[in-house]
Amino acid sequence: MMIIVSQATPVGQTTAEGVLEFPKHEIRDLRCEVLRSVGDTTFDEAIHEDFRVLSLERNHAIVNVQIRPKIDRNVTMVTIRFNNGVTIYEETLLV
Amino acid sequence: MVADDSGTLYTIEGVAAALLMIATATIVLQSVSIYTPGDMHIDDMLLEQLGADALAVLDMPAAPGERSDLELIVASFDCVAFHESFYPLLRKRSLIPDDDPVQYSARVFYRDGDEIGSVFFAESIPFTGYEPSIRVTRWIQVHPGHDLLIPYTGRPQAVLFEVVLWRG
Repeated sequence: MMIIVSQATPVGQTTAEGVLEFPKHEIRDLRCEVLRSVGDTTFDEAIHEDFRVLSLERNHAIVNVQIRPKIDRNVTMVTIRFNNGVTIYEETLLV
Repeated sequence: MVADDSGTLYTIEGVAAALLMIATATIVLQSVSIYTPGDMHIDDMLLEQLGADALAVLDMPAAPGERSDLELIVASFDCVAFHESFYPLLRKRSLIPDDDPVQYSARVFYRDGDEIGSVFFAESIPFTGYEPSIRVTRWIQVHPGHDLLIPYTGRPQAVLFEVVLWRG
């Protein structure tokens, strides 16, 4: 009984902390906004700087977005990188 | 033929009593829930999920290519409309109107050169900073012509909408 009770604390804590620390909403939101911005062709160096500086200051995450237009195929290659020290995320896709 | 079979009866009684005691002990032990310090984080987790979901609901455009309610509210700096649409979403789970009081305080963060600044947006009650709170954020894109009280840049810009949530 005592072993179970003493183990319950670390188990509950680490599980909840793991979920709290994982920036699921931040990554989804960033991805969605970047793709929309690229789709609306409003994505430029200034907006990239907005994302970068605000992420760093408020969410303590390094965000980097690269866009490479492929003129011959009329698509844009977007690479989103996110790193908050615990979670690293990188995605490349065509818009 | 056994002359005296009362010993068998005692054995049956003993077995039945043992089963009853084990069943009682099981029921008693299963009914005890232990509140550990770890469970406190689960409350935070639920609050974070609730806030993120509420913001996601508001930030859902009606159709592809259209602007979401949250974007329109932020761009028009309409604090009352935000409170009226956001707060009921936070309180949807409450069975009784004053039960489970979740409070929020929202700010908008923007970039000004290499610095960031913020402007107060809306809150249900003032946030003192002492409440155990969690934070959810949402990216909003505002276009020139918005009414947000931030330095005018004349370009589409991304601002971070930040909501602090706590129970109190």
